[in-house]
Amino acid sequence: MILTQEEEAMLRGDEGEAAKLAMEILVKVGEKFGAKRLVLVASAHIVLAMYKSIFDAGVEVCEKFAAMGARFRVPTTLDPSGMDTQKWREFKTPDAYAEKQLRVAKAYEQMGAIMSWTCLPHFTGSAPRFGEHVGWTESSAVAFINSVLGARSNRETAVLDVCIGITGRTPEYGLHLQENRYGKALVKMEIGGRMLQTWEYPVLGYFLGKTLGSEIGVVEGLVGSPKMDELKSMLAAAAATGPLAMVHLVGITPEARTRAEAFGPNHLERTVTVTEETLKTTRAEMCTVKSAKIDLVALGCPHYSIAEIQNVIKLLAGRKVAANTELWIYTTKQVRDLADRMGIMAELLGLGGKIATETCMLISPVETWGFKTLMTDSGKCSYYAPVQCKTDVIFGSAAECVEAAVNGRVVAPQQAKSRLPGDPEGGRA
Amino acid sequence: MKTFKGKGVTDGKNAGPALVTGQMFGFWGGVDPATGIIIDQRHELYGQSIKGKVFVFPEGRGSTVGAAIILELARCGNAPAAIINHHTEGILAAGGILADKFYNTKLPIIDGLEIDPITEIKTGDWVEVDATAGFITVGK
Repeated sequence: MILTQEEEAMLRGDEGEAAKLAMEILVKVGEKFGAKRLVLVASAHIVLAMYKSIFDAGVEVCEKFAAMGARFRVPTTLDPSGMDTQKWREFKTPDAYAEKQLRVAKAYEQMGAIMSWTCLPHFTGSAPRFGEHVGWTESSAVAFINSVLGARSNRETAVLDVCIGITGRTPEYGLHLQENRYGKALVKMEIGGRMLQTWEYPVLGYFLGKTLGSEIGVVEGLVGSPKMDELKSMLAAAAATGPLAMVHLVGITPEARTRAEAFGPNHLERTVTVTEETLKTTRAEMCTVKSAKIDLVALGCPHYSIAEIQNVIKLLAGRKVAANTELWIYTTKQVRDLADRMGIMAELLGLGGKIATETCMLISPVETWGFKTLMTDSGKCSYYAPVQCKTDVIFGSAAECVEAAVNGRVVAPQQAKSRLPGDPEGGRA
Repeated sequence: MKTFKGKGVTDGKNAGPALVTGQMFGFWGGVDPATGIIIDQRHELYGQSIKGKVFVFPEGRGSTVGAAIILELARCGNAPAAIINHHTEGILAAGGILADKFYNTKLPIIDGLEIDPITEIKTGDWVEVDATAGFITVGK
């Protein structure tokens, strides 16, 4: 690899022990992937953040870097914490677990991290612009910033993300290079030219991740104008079931104004068709049981937006959450503060729901509650919940989730019934 | 005993019995680092251990926290002996490099073999992976 003088200096240790170690790791990874050089990044995002997922090794590595005097050279945000950052006791977080999480927080404070604790740094003030090179982890965020914002990031991984923040650089390979950003597989939407319902976006994402593997897909035939929250949910599911880092959505992705632009010089290697049957079959796969008493309705993976919380309040329509069922919404501190100011927080609490801040169901110790069945509107959560929450899982629309919270079991929402094609009542309810 | 060429992704040489799957594999939510046992109920290898195995799967998927799981596997002494992929993505490659750097654990990873490892290697075959030199040897 060709290194600049500044990079050579870091590698020699002129910038301190931590920068030396970080540079050694990045150069090694770069060499393995045939990178010719390092690319300057505008920001880093770190997934080596939540104790539940990084274990003791992760705590040791963070502390090692902090003890070496590491300081982040570029703005570096943090993925969610392993527990509600304020009400962790209320959410039954074991003390020994909390102590490890607090050690991680302390290490990052010393290193000058932006203490963002969210999977959505791009929704909370740290969005990269079109064409900007960044070094991010968090599979859902990487898929979103490449596919929707047109920023450039590989799926970096834990520890490497810390090294990127410390050096302000990452190996230049993969999605940093234009020639690797074109599509290879065509995904044709053949659902009669109709628009997808909000809940169908994560279903489509779940299917895409599983089907495309690391091949970049080009999705043609999405009708209407998907909302940011719908794309967020879709790409999070796609990046859970597969290694998807980027997908072209023709007419939405900045680099895919047309199908031809998305494919660039590449030849079409294969075509995948999405039919009503695809969506129906995929949705069934996203549930481990068909109907059950619901113990926890968990929303906000990725973190819920204020509009999504407003929608839940509207769907609740003043009805209380059933006894022996919990309704938890996971979100950022910014959105929680907004919900508080708007009186939504008080209303939700009054109806028996809770807002959990800066964490989520997958990376906090939800299993300490002993829930048996969890319901969610998140495709990503539906994939990971059986292992991470130790529950059965039912995927449904936000409306179905709210009905389940009110009734304590799966019930088809009255007002939504006629709007759910491909989702016959007999399907799951 | 047959030898096949490939591309070494990390350094090191190791051997063990093969554990083969045609399904993608993600380490986070895929394996319990405290035991090395596969905990993803949706995976065909659910319940099997990757500890000391030459783990053969097409490619990684899912969470970018993957390298942390590989580190914890290394810290607990439950890492696979080696990994063989069709295509190794950055998460796994970095995991192997980091395991060596932080826990002195060699995790040889090789991809781009001249054969399809998923069909040519059977679970239980004794496989030696030399990722430094870029080849594998498959015995029966």
